[in-house]
Amino acid sequence: MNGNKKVNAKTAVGPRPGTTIGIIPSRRSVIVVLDLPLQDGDKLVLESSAGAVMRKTSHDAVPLGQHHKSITFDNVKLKTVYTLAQEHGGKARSTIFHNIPTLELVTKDERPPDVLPKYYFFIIQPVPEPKDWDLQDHAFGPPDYTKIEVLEPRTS
Amino acid sequence: MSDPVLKKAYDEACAVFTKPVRFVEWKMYEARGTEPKHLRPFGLTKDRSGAWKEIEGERWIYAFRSYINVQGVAIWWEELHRGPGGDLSATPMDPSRVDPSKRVEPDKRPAGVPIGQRISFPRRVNGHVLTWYFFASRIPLSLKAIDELQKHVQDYVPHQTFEENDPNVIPGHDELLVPVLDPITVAMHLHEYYVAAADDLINYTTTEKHQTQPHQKEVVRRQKKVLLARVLKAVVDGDPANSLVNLLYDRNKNRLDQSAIDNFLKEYDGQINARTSWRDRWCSYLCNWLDAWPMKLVEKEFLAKPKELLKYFVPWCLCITRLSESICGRKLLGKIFDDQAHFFHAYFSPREIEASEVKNVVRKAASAWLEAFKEWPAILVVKLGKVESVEYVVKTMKLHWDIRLKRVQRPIDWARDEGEPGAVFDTKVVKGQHYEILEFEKIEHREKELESEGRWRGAATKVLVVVEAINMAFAIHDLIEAMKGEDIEKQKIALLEFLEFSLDSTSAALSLAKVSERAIGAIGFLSGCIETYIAGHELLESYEKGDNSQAIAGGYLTLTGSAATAVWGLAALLAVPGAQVFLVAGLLLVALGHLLSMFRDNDYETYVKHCCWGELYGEGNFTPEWATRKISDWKHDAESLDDYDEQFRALLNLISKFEIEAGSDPREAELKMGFMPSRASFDLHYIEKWSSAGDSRDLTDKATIEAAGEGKPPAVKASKFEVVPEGERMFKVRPSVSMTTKPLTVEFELPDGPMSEMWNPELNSISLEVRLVMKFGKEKFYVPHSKPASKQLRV
Repeated sequence: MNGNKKVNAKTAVGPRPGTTIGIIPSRRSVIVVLDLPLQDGDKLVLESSAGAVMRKTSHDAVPLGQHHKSITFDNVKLKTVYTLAQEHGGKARSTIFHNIPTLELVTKDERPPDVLPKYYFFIIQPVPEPKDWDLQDHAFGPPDYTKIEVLEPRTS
Repeated sequence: MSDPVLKKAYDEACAVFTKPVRFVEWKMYEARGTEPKHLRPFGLTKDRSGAWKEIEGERWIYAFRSYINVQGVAIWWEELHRGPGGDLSATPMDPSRVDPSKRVEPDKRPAGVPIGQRISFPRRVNGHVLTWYFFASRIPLSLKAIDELQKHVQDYVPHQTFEENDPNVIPGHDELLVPVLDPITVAMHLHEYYVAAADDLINYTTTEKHQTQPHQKEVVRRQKKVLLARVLKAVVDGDPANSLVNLLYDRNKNRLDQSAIDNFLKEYDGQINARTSWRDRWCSYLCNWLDAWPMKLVEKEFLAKPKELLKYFVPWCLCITRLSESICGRKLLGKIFDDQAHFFHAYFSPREIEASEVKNVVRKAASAWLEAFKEWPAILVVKLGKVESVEYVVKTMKLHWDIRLKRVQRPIDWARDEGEPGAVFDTKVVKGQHYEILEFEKIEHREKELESEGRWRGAATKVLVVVEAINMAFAIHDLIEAMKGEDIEKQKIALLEFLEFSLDSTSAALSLAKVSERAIGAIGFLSGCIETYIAGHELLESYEKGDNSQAIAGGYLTLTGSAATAVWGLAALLAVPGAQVFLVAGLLLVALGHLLSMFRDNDYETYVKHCCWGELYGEGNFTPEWATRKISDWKHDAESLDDYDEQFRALLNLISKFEIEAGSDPREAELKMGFMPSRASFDLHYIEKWSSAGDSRDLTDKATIEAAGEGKPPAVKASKFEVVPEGERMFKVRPSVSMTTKPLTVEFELPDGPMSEMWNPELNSISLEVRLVMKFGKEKFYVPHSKPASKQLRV
């Protein structure tokens, strides 16, 4: 599998063990957090197994700090199966998750795994600039690979 | 995260969504091997600039997601079509995404729903971080390919979590730029980087006709200075008194520095090594990438859809070009050739193909096919042998293009024996080698089609150019082959000779093949072959065995520190008329560091002080006998005009200096030699003056020194003189034609008794003028340079 470096557990992201997520019993609500700026056009759909549908857009979001907004679906019923879906352009729909848990305690087993997939990395290895005048490249100089563009060949 | 409110919201939210995402593409990708662990995105800047690009044309983007801390399986989540203008449309899919029965092949999938140019993704669900993987294809993928992706996408494709500081995401002003992995885009960029790096190395070290004149001059000056440094280093290292090293001066530090030459050479090697390192890095990445799973996945998809294949075939052909220049490139080409299931055999081999789709692709690819095809002869000739590989080329061209190529066998005389004495090396071994050359006999109507507009900028559009490039591959193969095999005579060819002749013959091969339009590729190809050869064990073996000529080259290569840096310099100098003296003499001199055992005067000190690594560089209003110009003129106010030619010639003159001494016989002289190559000649002028003109002799002749056989003294041919080698560095010279019968000496009786001898009063003088003539390539080099050395043997 992946041979990338181990993740430092302290920097791993995820809820703290013991955190309550999903439908919060005391408030009977479901929260969705949106990073700013908002993606317009998407709709979030919360649908119960009984057929009740709640749709919300970014216009329903309220500020959450400086860089986020949140959408709250209220009046959810405990012990009911809910599905949260995302609708693109009104038709293409994807389910974010099915069966929102009423109460979920994150356990230690659900911490991030030892390895994460591939990270971008960079290397800096320029051709050294020689002191000797005759060794200096007065004509072109080494290529700047970051500036090289490739024109797509004709394939039709 | 320091904000407790946000932290709590994150923890409690059933979903967190990203800001709008816009797709771009990775263009730099590390491929240290073909395994998953070897592949990952990389760049040359911390901010990722230059590592990605805007997408050109349409793509199908496949999004997969997984919970890294809950489940390891990635699930296909979205199929997004990105139109040429950047508009996205999402394919409606089963909302749950997990029911395999609801997935269909591309032609049955519902039309995509436009969703604008950006999209938002959930990045946390139920408090768990999601990881996303994006794979881009130029055609919609089959379910089989998508299943494969589901299985392996986490291994090969970089992930995005969209969390703060996600290194695989580029933050934009009001959006996130997410690079997707399109294997074809990555392959084309790796190829472009490889070509740029290969050209950079060539441009730094070698001249070719497309360079501007100032650039060519710059390269030649650089290589001359490097070789001068290597020769001078040999001189300094061989100084038995170890005093010359104390005269070296570092101009950058403005002080005497024993390491001045070493520093210069180290700096040069640093330039070459850094460039070579980049070239090899890009080449290995490219070759690995072409052979790695992501590329193979899209290859399978395209091969299953012949009507779309051109979209893969043309970029693939582009990526193949110039691979034959490199070791790892040839390895990949060979691997492809050995794989009988590879599509190469359907599209490039002379096998009769029934499928019209194949013919259509070849026809439509035209110049792209041609460009790729010219890379193969270098492989074919190794895999199949020369005769079969020529047949292969001929039949393939006939099969696909109705172009008939004529197979011609021509004798090639690599010996360059001009019938003149004085050639530096004995070349009889390679004399008589043959190689095949292909020529057009007849071109049918397909030629125009094949020569249509190139598929990419710089693609060959002339059949002739490519065929000639193929010819050159065969020609160079002959040279390399001459160095192998069981033939003892062949094995005696020195590596040095190989370098000289193969490089020198480049011009011949190029000229013969008229490959001027592809000069850069040809130079790269040639150098690549030589690097391969040098990388072999033959050099070390011969060095250990004490093989003289190979040892010379071995010494050179040892001193230069790396075979690659040595080779590049040679190529530049051989390409320049008049620079061969630098090359050949330089090689020999560097190798023969011990030649300074014949130190006789302070000339070397004078030289070192006034050369470009001396403290008095540019000073000295005098012209030593071993120089042709005032030594202050070696330096010019403009650095670009410093005269390294004159410095090299002066040094060579100094090293080659010889002495004439009277021999045991009145008509005999002893020549005590300095440096001289294995083959050289003497211009001899013997003058014996008598009071009677009839007794006098004025003999002029050229004595040619043949290369010494193993354990034998060199043979000297002259018509009017007898020239006999004595040991390694002395020749005895005396006239061999009839002289006056008068005795050189006469007896007389002293007043008080015994008889004694005196010079015949009729003999006025005996003198000998000698000039050593060395030939380096086509250039003659005279020692002394201005007029022959003379010695009055008798006055």
